Amino acid sequence: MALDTRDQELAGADRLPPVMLDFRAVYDTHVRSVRRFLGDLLRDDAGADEATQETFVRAHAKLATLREGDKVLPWLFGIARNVFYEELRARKRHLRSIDEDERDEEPSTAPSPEGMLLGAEADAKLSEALAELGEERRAALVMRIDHGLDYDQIAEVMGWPLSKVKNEIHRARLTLRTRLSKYVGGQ
Amino acid sequence: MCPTEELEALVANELDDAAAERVRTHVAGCAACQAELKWLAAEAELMARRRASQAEVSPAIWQNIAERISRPEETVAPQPAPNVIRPRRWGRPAKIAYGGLLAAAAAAVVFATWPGQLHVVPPDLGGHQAVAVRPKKVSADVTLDKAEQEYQEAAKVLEAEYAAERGRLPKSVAERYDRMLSATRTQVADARATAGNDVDGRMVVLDGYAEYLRNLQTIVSDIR
Repeated sequence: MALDTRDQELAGADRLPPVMLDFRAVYDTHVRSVRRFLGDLLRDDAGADEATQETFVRAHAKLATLREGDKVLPWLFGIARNVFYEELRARKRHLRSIDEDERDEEPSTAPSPEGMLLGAEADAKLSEALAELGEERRAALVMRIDHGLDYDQIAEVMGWPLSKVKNEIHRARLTLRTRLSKYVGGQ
Repeated sequence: MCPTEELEALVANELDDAAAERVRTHVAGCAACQAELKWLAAEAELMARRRASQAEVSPAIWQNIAERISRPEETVAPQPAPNVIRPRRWGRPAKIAYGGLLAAAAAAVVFATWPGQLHVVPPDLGGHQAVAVRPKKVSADVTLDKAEQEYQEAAKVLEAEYAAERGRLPKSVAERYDRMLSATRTQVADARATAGNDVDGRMVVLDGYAEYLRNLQTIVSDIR
């Protein structure tokens, strides 16, 4: 795979030595991918915006640790994944601290009615199918089929052995295909 | 059956001509791969549509980032890596060194601030030479000297680890780390010069050593 993101607009920027990377250029090149990745994980636009912000602030602080030859997007996804888990833990703590009645009134993390109306039916079904997957399996799948990371890179981001990456993505695909078979007509 | 990865590469136009032709030839005679290829193409199309319909990222995100990274406290040294893909792998010498510094810090705090350790009961307050609280006087200076020495020894071990790994860094990054460490060393030296024999001042010196060692430890673990 030549480039590590399909949003890549600054061809070649991904392989520049880290010290030559201008942070704004890194942001411009990858922010859409990082935002979409976090949106897929959090299922919440406002939360994904905040997590994106946090991811890039941390990335800036760690920029000097990026080694020459490292690919930027998998590195950013590694940071984003940690931000996501911290947010998830915070949400779980919050949910535990409120009454059941109040919980029923909490804003849903499902797409808003407006969002559903704007989306095409297949896109909505895709979104629903992704939401059915567990967070880790969903993260691995979207890194592969949306962001184009190869299996080795996903293994590094997730801290999994390669065999587990392949197995998780295979299982995720089966779930996705079951939900989408009526719309895609693949099988 | 073809490996999925090769079919994926075919869909993404990532195979060279010869490989693409080989995979196509296989697919032409393999019903399972034809079905798989159809799914992969559908997946790719769905994802492409999703990317195309993604809303623009709010400019407020960059504004907030720019505001935060311009604050000094957000840009100081490398943060202790929360990244699970690079677990810390301390070498045995570093573990011993860090254990040593913790012991030194504990010793300094206990001995330097424990009143009974620092004096004998004077005769004019009813004490007697033979019944001093401690038969052998333990000086705060001696204890702090020992703690400082242990910090210095721990620093030597971590500095050696850094020196061994430094060559793996790009020159500019290594120079940046050098400047950061040098600045911390200068702070410690300045604190030491002004502390004299004052216990509080010397505790500040030990805090400076602890900071220096934390920086070294973060750098060494981040390099690995």
